[in-house]
Formats: sequence, structure tokens, C-alpha cells
Amino acid sequence: MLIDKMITLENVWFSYEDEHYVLRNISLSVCEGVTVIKGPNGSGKTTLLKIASLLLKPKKGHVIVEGTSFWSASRSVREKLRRKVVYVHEKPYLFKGTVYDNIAYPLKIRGYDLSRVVDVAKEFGVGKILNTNVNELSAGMRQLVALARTFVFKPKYVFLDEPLANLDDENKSRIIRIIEKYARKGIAIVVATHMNINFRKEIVSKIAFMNNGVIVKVSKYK
Amino acid sequence: MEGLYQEVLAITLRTLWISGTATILAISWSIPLSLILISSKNRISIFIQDFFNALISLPTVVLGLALYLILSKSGPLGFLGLLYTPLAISIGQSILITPILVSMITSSFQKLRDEVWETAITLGASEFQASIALLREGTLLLIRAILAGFNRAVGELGVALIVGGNIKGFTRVLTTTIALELTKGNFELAIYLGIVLLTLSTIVTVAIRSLGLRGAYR
Ligand SMILES: Nc1ncnc2c1ncn2[C@@H]1O[C@H](COP(=O)(O)OP(=O)(O)OP(=O)(O)O)[C@@H](O)[C@H]1O
Ligand SMILES: [Mg+2]
Repeated sequence: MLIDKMITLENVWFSYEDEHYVLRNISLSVCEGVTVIKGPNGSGKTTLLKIASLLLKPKKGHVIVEGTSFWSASRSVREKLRRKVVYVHEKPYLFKGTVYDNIAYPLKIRGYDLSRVVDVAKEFGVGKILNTNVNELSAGMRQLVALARTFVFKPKYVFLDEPLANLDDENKSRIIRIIEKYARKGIAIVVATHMNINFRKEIVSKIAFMNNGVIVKVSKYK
Repeated sequence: MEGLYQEVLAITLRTLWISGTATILAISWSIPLSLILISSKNRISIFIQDFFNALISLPTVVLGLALYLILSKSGPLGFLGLLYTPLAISIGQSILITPILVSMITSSFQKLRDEVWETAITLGASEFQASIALLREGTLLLIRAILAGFNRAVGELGVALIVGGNIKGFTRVLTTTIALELTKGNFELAIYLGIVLLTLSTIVTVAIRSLGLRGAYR
């Protein structure tokens, strides 16, 4: 595994308010395939994902992205690195407008061609509702739209927070299949969950178990 | 009757023009300032927000007096010759409503900011693009704040009276005319103008309410 092709957290500490650390001395590297972060409610999974996806700045420690210490880098370097990384909230926010508008957004701001939107929407099972206003979607539909919007711009690192919440069995297996497909293509996908998700064994590179702000165990498979 | 009607119309239009200008001026700095305040969640930004919150209830005569001292001939900006002009009223009112705009925008955008900002940034937006997304998502909230500011500007008396001087056909607006006509015992015109003022602010208030509701059902 190439060091310069991944995101690594080194001795990361984080607190939302002063003095109370909700992450303590976390070291973890994210590489190709699926990394699962498991832990009970409040153990720090979401916080960890937001740090690894470059949204939150650690109080102590480093976040190394492809060999560069992210928070010491210049603004322009940070913007460039950030564009390879995407975080999907457990209750994703959809922009006002249609399903199409949302899936097209990451392409538009990058100035990319929008022709992929329709295919990706079909892949995620939302091809028939492209012109629907997002106000009218169910929670599960919103989740699918958010996932389509995530994969449409070919990110290299994808952080999914409880991606199967709100989904029925059919859509659960659809999303698992899609995650596996993109993982096979070489995208690093990190899934935080308190559930048991049955990914194919050969896809999962590691499972990190969290409890109360620390990683208590890492099982590696590759 | 004809003359009365024309006078009411002229004063109403002048009021809308002066307070509209004030609102546009206030928007031009309140929106960027609010965006800066909500994107930096540090102690200074919280202090500034509290400060603006406290300034909402600033008495208009105090602001009028301060502006008078600054704009009068012997004041530091006396050379501009702004005292007793419509622009002086607009400037005064724009300062008056800035705290309302900043407080309403920052408080209503706080939650929206967390969601929209995070989503836009993680999907690859630059900070500028994320700000655009935030404004677009918050358009209704923004219009609401702007209407509230406009309403306050139209209805205030102290600034318009002190720095406007209530000059007939030039700086005379709804509130100052009502005050003047009453002291002259001219109740008819005062009541007409009062009705216009009440109607204006009712329309704006209803608009604010209904925008608030639509925002809530987002
Ligand atoms: N915005 C915040 N401000 C203050 N404390 C927070 C904030 N977000 C989370 N926390 C605290 O940080 C700790 C870790 O929360 P986090 O959301 O990372 O856990 P989680 O493992 O994702 O939980 P869940 O399974 O419920 O999503 C918790 O104690 C929580 O109360
Ligand atoms: Mg969580």
C-alpha cells in the first residue's frame, strides 16, 4: 500500500468544548477498500469521520493526506486536497430544488460536464425521480440522492456516516453492492456504523472498534 | 381633497425611497458581516453578535443626536453638507437597522450554516461557493430580515426628524409629517398618513410572518 495514496490520522485529539476530549489519541490510516468504524452511540464515530474528511480540525495531532500534513498546508493546497474527499452525514442535507440539481451540484462547482448525472441517478435507484423536488422525498430517498451526489464526481476518499440508516432491505443491499463496486475500483470508503453490515470479506480492509473516544481494537484483513 | 391626496402620495413615495435606500445600504454591509460572523465561531464573533443584539433597541433620538453632532457644520463630517438632506436620513436609518439585520441573519442562519456549509464544502465548494449556497438556501430567511429592517426604518421618527429637519417637499416623511401635523392641529392629514403607515407596516409584517412559516416547512 502506498503511503502517499491515503489519509492518515496521527495521535489526534479533539474536543468540541474546551477540556473535554471526545477523541483521544486516535491513530488510523484509511486506504483502498472499505474501512468500517464500529462503535456504540456517542463513541465518537461521526467526529472521527469529520476529522478524517477534513471538515473538523483536530486540537492535537496531524491529518496526513497523501503525504501532506493537511492543516499546515496552504489554503490552495487544502482546497485541492479537499476536493478528493467527501463526507456524507447520517441525515444528509439536500439543497433546495430537484433531485437532479442536487446530484449535479458537485459537478457544477467543479465545472465538469453534467452528462453523468442521469446514469449515476439510475445506478442509485433515483433515476425516475430526477425532476422531483427534494421536499417531497422520504428519508430513505434522501439518503439515496445524497449517495448519488457523493459518487457522481469520482471522489478518492468517501466517508459514509450510517449510510444504511432509513433504508429498506432492498435499498440496503443495493447500497452495499454499490459500495463494494466502488471499493473494488480503488476508492477508499470509510463506513461508520453501529450496525452489523455484511460486506463481502475480500472488500473490507479493516474494522476499527471505537468506544468512548478511543479506538479499542483494529482488525486488519489486508 | 385632490391636493391632500397628492401630498399623501408624495410623502409616501418619499418615505419608501428614503427608507428603501437605507435598507439597501444596510444590506450591503450587513450580509457580508453576518456571513463572516457565522463562519468564525470564536469568542470575538459571539461578542460582536451580542453587541449588535443589544443595539437593536437603541433609541432613535440618541442615534439622531449623535448623527446631528457629526453632520452639523461644526461636526467632523460637516463639510459634506449632508445635514437636512434625504441622504442623511437614509444613512441614519441604515445604521439604525444594521443591528436588526445582523442579529436576524446570524441567528436564523446559524443552524442552516452548519448543514449547508458542511455539505457544500465537502462536495468541493470553495468558501465563496459555499457562501453563495448558504445565501441561496437561506433566501427566505434573508428576505425576512430585510423586511423587518425596512419596517423599522419606515416607522422610526427620531433620526428622520433630527437629521432630516422635516423640510416640506424634501425631507418630510410619513412619521415626521404625522408628528408635525398633529402639533398644528391638522388631524385629517395626520390620520390619513397614519393609515398609510399602518397599512405599510401591516403588509410587511404579514409578509415576514408568512415567509417565516414557509421557511419552517422547508
Ligand atoms: N456539536 C457538538 N458539540 C458538542 N459535543 C458534541 C457535538 N457533537 C458530538 N458531541 C459529543 O461528542 C461525542 C461523540 O459524538 P459523535 O457524534 O462523534 O458520536 P457517534 O459515535 O457518531 O454517535 P452516534 O452513533 O449516536 O452517531 C459525544 O459525547 C457527543 O455528545
Ligand atoms: Mg454519529
